[in-house]
Amino acid sequence: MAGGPKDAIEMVRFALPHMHLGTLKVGDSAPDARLVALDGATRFQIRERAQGRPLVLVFGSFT
Amino acid sequence: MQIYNDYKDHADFLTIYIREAHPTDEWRMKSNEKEKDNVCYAQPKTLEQRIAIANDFTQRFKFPLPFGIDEMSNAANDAYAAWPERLYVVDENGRISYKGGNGPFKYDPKEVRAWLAKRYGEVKHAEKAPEKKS
Repeated sequence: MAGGPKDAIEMVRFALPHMHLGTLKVGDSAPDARLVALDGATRFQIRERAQGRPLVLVFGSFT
Repeated sequence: MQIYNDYKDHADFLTIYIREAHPTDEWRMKSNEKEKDNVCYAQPKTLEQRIAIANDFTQRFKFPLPFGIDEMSNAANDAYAAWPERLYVVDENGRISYKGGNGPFKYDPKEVRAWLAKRYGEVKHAEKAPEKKS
């Protein structure tokens, strides 16, 4: 991941401010948030996708 | 994606696309240029840019999972402390039933598979026959 001084500096500068353990715990109510669909127009809430079954949330990006 | 194929009849899945982990204008990864077929994007500054990258990703990989994009307020990312990557399972009552570790090192899809297998049974796959060497 960090291969040298440049990587280490960029990790501290760009990654650490965004990396959080978070306060959510197992048993907490799952937060809701509004998302945008791939069409760029449709909006929906995370909780709308819970259809009475477990909901697996996969967070990530391309790079 | 195998987990999705194995358990989509029992559970719902939602991929939530958040702020980039290694954009070219922040902590750039050389491996993105060479090994990952030119995955080089600046950190999106507008929702339109984020949507465009998300579409590139889903089209490039023919990504089958349901997909949602975090708005530029990063509300979903912040609520779930998701960056750079993270997995959760929300149960039928809307409660967190599994909270995965932060990626990359603590991100472990096998833990989600184990959660689903405990509930719905293990899905086994036939082992691929080894390729014959000529």
